[in-house]
Amino acid sequence: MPLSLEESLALQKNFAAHIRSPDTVAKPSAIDDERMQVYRDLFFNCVKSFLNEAFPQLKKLMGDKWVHLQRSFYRDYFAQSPYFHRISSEFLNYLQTATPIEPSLIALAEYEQALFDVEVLQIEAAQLIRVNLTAKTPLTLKAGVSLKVFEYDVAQMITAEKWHDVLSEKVELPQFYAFYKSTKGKVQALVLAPMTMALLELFQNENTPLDAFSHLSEMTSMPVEQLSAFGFEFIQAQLNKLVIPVACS
Amino acid sequence: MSSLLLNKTGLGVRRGLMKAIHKHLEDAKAFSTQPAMDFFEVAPENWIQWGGAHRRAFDELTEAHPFVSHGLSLSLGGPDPLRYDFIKEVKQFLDEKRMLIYSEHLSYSSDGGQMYDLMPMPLTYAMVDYVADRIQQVQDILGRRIAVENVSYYATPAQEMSEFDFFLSVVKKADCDILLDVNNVYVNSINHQYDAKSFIAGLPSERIAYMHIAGHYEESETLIVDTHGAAVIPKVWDLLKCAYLHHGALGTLLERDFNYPDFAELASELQQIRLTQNQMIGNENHAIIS
Repeated sequence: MPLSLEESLALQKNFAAHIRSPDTVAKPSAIDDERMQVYRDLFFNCVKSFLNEAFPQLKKLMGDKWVHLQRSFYRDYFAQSPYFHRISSEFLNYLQTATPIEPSLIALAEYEQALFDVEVLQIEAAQLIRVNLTAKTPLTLKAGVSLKVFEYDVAQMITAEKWHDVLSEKVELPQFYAFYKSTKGKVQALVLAPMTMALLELFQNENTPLDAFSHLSEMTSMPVEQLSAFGFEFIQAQLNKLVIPVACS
Repeated sequence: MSSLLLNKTGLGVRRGLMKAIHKHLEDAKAFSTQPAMDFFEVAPENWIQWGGAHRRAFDELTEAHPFVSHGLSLSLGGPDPLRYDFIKEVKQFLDEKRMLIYSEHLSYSSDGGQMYDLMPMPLTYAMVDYVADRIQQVQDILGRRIAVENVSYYATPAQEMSEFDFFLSVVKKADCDILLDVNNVYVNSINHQYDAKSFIAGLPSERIAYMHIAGHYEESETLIVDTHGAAVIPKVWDLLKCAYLHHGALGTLLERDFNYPDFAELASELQQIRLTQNQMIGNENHAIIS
């Protein structure tokens, strides 16, 4: 008696379920273990290689636990993206929703994914813009720039050798970063002071430097003149790197 | 027999091969020699939404050379509904990059989520109708015929018919083309003990769009794993010749996915494809003359 479509589809799902979780789902009864092992190895190795590439520091700090985390992701999370270079963002989504590891390590994964996101972002290399920048030129963030706030000490985690060297508590002052691609196409992570972070956030809303300094002045009670003294120099240094005039975006 | 890539030699583009391909083409230009390949193949899944390293080089390559596209994540035979959003992105990619052919695997790669690799179909009568209908839907959305590849497989959860009968039934019912993977026929003939030459000879020539050839890994005498990580072995070259004798010197593409050797080795395998194709032309001419 030929199998029905439903029975055939059920066999497919069981086959996949066993590959995802060999320890808890029995292998299809009609198949030799040696043959099934080929699938178990090929599939998991493929996913592992993408994750190893995207999260080298997380891998290093987690040591032996890394492979277990990779397995729990593959077992428990039903990734939707058909694109192989999105496996890492699917993994981060898994970490953020299922929280299988401590928050500080998830922050490190967010940092590494931010680097990866900038790397694969499809943006044309922008022409270098030469403008006479004034305090009244509306500015915006350059395409592909992403600003991130971390409540854990990612600055230390990205250079740490072992997990024991890392503080797992929240830091007193959050750490601010801008991730972007340099004009030569290299991925960069720039540490920002709280004030420069606030300034860049204001340019997300297409403010002029003058407007931005007024907002900052209200937020900090510092005089506009004092803010513009340091701020304008910073903006000029970041022109074409992090910010561009709205008219050129 | 498809004349589109007749007597053409192709190479699968991987990001890890981009620099070597670029250098090879530059050298060929500088010394006015013929490049080792006439066309290229890419997986849309590796380049759609990808703007990382090599993107610009990839775009330039697609502007200057004939390209075909070989999909990985469509899950033609899978238990989930077809992903129309994804198929439309593939269509856009195929159209923008002027892909001559689009192919996918007769397998599945999802179970409610993406598995990121290819699983074997249950070789059942019910699945023939199911997957043929899905192939037709994809062809309708893309507005073009697709080619379906015979996959390598190591086991199947159910078998009511032979792999050959399953493959041919699907292709006929879906009215699609074939991407004949010669290495996969060899791998499966060892893993499932059938006659590789009969498999190849039995396929309808008029449906074969082009062919694949690759290396593999021999796990044991009775188990071969299709890795695309080694040189093509002599028995597979013989099988390619057999395929040409039955179906003509169709376009043939070398797949190499990792463990990259010096590019000269790949170039020499491409040269071997070209030589084998030229021998066939010789045979045909000889037959016409006599």
